[in-house]
Amino acid sequence: MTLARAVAALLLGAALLPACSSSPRTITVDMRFSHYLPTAMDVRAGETVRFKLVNEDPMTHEFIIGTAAQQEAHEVGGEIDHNGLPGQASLAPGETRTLSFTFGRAGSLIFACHRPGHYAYGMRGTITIA
Amino acid sequence: MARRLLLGCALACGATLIATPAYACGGLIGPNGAVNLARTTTLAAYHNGIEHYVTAFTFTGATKGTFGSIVPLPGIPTKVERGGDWTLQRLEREVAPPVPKGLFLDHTGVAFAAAPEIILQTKIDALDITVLKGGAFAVGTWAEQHGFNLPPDAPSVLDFYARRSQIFMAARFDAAAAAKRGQRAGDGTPIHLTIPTNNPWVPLRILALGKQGSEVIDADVFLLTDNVPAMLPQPVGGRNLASAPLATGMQLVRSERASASLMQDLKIDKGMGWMPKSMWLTFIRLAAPANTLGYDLAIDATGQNQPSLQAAGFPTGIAAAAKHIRDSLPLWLAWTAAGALTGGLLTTMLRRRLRTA
Ligand SMILES: [Cu+2]
Repeated sequence: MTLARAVAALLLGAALLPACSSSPRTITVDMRFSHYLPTAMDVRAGETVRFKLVNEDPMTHEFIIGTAAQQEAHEVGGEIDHNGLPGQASLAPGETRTLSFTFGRAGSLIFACHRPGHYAYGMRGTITIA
Repeated sequence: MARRLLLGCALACGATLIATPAYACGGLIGPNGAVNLARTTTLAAYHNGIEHYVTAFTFTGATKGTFGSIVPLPGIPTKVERGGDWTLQRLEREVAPPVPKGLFLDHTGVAFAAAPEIILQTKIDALDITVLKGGAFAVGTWAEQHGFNLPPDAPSVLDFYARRSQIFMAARFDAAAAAKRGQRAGDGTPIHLTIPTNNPWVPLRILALGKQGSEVIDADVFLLTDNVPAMLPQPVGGRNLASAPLATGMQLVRSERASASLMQDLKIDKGMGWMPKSMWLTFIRLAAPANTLGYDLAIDATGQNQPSLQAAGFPTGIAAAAKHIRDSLPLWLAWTAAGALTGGLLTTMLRRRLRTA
């Protein structure tokens, strides 16, 4: 092995290191004007994602991952604080919070906010699990 | 004095004879978001660099919960006081005379800032009024912390106003206190703000706060100015400022020198002594679907015909304003216009045929 090849192999190894390590990928989700950004995300089946949730609005928002049926149930539910529940978070005005979630099998899920009127206003997005 | 008493009584008694609108001037927020109102009425009078903004908050009859309203203002008010008892009713009466008893009058017709600065606080009847200075985030957070359940569109609406003027009036309506005071459903509390400004405008977009897309926002807007005002956007039926876009949701109903009797009746109402001898009366009826109401009403009463784009909510220029209003035209309006045109053509053709037959 020449020196150049050895250096290239070392650099390649270093580049692959984060992907091979167990630290999850971070996706930042902004909440502004009662909408999410981004509104669509792609993840892998079995992947654990660390969501960095940033609420830029002067009002409380939620980030709740679930199926369409689960979202409908949340829409009529009365839960005020979702923190600590799997795949769910409530954020005070201006708050930033992280949430880790491991996705199961392939399919699609919805993330949404169920403060009064927010879901109907369009505060929702989709996660495609491949 | 005799005229004062007579007028107060006449308007109070006449209230049952004329269609009585529900008054309020800002986005009204109830325990679960915005509250529906039939129609809102405001007077924006401008004289000697002072805007006099008069509106009223109506007790809805609810006995539970706190209701509130947020009103963006063009400047810091020097005075917030209880308005006169008949100014708004007298203006409504001027444009809609009483109908005989028994007739029904259809009246359809981010920067994460710190806490906002409290400019002034006062209590008028069952209303706790706070004038705030701050950005959208600061004012919105303050409102949430003080019992206003902001609807989801509140952050973008507050941002729309805060980019232009960071002065807001928050009025909290305590229904229980109102009931304790013996206020009955439909009783209004008029509020009169005196605002020094060289740039008057009437907040309209705030009226759509919490309203759904096609829900029609009804409002009666009265202007009293020294000269004939130029307006942006222009109401339908208004003077044609070549460059100003037309807002089809606004109809110019009256534009005339205010009658001597109206001037006299208003001048003797509480807080209206500032009025000069003669003013120009403009009456605009707003009936716009919520999703088209993305503008305010800018006024130039100096006679120079240059209402401010920024004051109308279009800081990016006239082309953007025109495009925004064109894009927001509801489809039903286009179809109505097309229908009216077709109907007109058919009628003309029919008349010609009948004449030649
Ligand atoms: Cu939300």
